[in-house]
Amino acid sequence: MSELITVEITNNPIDITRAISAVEDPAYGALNTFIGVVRDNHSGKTVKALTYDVHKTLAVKELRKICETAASKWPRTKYYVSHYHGTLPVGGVSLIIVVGAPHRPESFDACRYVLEEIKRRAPIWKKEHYEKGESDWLPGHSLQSPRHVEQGQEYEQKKAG
Amino acid sequence: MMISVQINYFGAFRQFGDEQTIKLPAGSTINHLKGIFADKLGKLHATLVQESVFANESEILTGDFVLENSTILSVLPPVCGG
Repeated sequence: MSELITVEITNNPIDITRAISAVEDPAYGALNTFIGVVRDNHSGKTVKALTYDVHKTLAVKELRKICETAASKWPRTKYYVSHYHGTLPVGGVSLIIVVGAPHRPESFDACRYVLEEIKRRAPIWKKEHYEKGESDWLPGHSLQSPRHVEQGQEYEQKKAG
Repeated sequence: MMISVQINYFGAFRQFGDEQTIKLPAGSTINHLKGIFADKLGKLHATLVQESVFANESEILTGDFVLENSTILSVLPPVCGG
């Protein structure tokens, strides 16, 4: 029997067949798959490639936590998540999420949940490379909890005092 | 006693290289480290630093986390995976 949760950060091409095989189960009627690919435009600029930077140790840990939470919300589901680390051209596969579930409603809900949480919480960053040779790191979601917002403020207050 | 904290860079911080080492007194907090780090990068990058967090290899550290010994940390800017 396959693992309930498989997560990885890889700089090898993401294998969709392997991802689906990882969550197949005779009891499942739905294998919901999200595939993220590099598109050729953003905010009016022509994109040639994307570079993904990843804190591997924390990312694997966070991906697993996200899937564990999803598994507790939608029982009897299985997860495969693979995120790319490195540079991909337009059309390259950056992320695959496959959720196996007995029925389609929970497979859609769980897959969407995992995707949105990855964007919000996983320590992964992307840099866009444009046609004229310039590049930009994209803005994103701060990992600060309310307590983390205090980081630095205490020091600034001491300096001011 | 002074300690050394190596800060590994990710994402937008890569524009400054791969890492930076900061010396500060043992017993300093993450809040203190973040303030020194912000000063070193300058006002132009104050927002980036303010929106970022420090982490060790297992978790994000809160502002009151005390640095007793020399160590290696990472500074994590806002994330955008997927």
